[in-house]
Amino acid sequence: MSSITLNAVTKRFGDLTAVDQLDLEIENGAFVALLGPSGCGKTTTMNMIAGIETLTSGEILFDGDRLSGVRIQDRNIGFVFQNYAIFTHLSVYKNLAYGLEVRRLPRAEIDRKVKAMAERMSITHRLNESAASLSVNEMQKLAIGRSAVTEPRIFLLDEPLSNLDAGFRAYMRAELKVLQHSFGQTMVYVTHDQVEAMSLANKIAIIDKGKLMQYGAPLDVYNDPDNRFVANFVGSPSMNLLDGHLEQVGNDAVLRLAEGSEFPLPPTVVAAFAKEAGAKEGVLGIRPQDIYVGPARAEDDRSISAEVDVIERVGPKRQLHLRIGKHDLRAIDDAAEVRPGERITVSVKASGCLAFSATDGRRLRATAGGARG
Amino acid sequence: MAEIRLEGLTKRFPSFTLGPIDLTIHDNEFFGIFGPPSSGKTSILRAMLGLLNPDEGNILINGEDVSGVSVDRRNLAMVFQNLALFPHMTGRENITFPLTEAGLPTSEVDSRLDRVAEVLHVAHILHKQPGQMSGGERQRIALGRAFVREPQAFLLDEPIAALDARLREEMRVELKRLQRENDHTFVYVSHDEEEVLSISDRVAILLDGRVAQVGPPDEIYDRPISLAVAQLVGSPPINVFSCELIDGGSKVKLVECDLTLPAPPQLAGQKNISCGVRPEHLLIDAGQTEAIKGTVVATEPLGGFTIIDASVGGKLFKLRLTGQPKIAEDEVLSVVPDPEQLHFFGEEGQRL
Repeated sequence: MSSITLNAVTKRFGDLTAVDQLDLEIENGAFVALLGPSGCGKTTTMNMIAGIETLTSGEILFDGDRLSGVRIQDRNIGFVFQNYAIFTHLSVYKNLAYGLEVRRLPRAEIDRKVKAMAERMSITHRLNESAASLSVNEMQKLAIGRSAVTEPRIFLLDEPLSNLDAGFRAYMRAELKVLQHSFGQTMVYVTHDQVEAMSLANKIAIIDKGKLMQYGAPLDVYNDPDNRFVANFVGSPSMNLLDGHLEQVGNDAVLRLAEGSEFPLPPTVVAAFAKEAGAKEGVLGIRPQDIYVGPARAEDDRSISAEVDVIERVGPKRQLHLRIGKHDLRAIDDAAEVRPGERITVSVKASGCLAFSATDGRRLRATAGGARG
Repeated sequence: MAEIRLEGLTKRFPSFTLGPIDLTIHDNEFFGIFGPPSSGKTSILRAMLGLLNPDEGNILINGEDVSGVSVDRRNLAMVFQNLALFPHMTGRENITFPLTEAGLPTSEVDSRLDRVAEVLHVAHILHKQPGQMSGGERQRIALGRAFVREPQAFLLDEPIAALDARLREEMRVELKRLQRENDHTFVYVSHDEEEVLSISDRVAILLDGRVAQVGPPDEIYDRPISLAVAQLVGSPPINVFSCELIDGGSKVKLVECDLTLPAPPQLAGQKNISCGVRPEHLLIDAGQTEAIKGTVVATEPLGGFTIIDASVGGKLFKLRLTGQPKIAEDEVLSVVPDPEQLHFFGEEGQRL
């Protein structure tokens, strides 16, 4: 068990700054996901926590102590990688026992721990088989079990599920959650898949270009993104983000999109944009779930005409790709009977509209600390 | 543009037999092939392309048997998962490679390149090498190399599987738009059911080398032909309960959750019935006395929806609720299935 503190951690590779002044406080027993696109620096960050990579500047503390002088093997950290590092020339049993044998535990204790872990991973019946005979799914299960059996105080997982097929991935997600529940380890989980991050972690650190964009509980990050990047990255299907000029047409405030269409703005968003004095441009964010087909159902909701472009089935839902001028607007509305090519009226929920700065993508809020608006 | 027809296509491998497969892919169709790993998806594409000689059966392109026709004369383009771009060539050279190889005149190569660059929005990256491009850009260059040949049809083998989750969502709509705007025939293979179902006009579900069901995505999702298809399509997967007919067959009891429902007529005389209910068709209704009393084991709040794991009689089942309901672990929920959305399957797994 251990807390981890990153203070202004920076890593440069030549001219490239992979991780830039990153601050992060990972509490004891937390399950934290490092989430971001390929090349954002999430794996580099994890490697520095592990001690595989040195820091250019900044410091990492474990329970308040610096570990820079401590050898990797003495840090008591468990790893699981994307390409399950298991010994294919050894039996499943030997793979599970390896970490314990290295630590010179008594044979009886090793046996007890290996069997308990095999039971947990439901691979008891395969203990004596060669690890090479396992399926891809079982190999990853074994890789996780092999790390967990040594009961590390920190567990680091680098995209451990990305090689697995969809069904097994969902199953392993649940399994990992149970594992963390029962051991109470501090877990750091690297992924580019926001669904994985949302469903597994207590807290998500969203990283872009080596910088921390937001750190918080999954639903807080989803409901109340601090900036445009987070708004776009978290949530599936992703949030609509419309760039335009802020204008007044008669009594109505609108966002004039690049090719001239007028997107009407609810009052809450107008108030949020007003917070940035003198701004002529703005970015409007709306989740597809907050757009419905038909005229406005509430006073503050706003309506616009759009053409149905593509209809996608996303799981049990139907996602409409709508065209407003040249802009794509995604909406989820199951009740609607629409066809591609049709021109329809859609409305946006006022409570679902978020405002972002056009200059730096910062979230603009109507009231300080207000959850939405 | 082309219609592709498979008639009794069979290929025997040492430990696996593909087929016999009968399929017709219509002209200008976005046709998806979906199945679990090693169900034979890629082999079908390879047979169409001519890289795999079937043991039996015929492949017809626009009504013409192509059995003896070599790969380069079938005029089909394939896009692979690992893209297979030349790392030392620029985007432009990668795209035009098939044309320069075929010895087309420079003017023709240039005009085709211009057209492809406009359709795929790659004009700004043509001078870069693959190593300098993002995953999505490399993907578009690989598509460009297929497009520039102006083939009769495109065969795509998990073309976006290697991309980040977010980019995949964007690319798949892009592919659909391309196919529709240019009236192409696409045969699209993937092991990601959401991806295939979201963009295909029709989908073939492949199980153990055989076609289990063919139809539009809605039909496959809403009326799966067998238990196996029902379990393959949908995430989280469909809940399956075992059933018993009671009261002389007028009622059906879902055994694990001790819920009795009126039995539809088609259940009469059936044995070992199972009932499938999709997670989004289990509704919370505190007012119902006849309900599944499920204890919440875990919750997965995903923002737009929430997945609840609950247990009843030692069996785990899942609910998919819209929005962000406040539900705590260990809470006991009264759950009723939407009576319109029950799937019954017989002893052999066939839909009843």
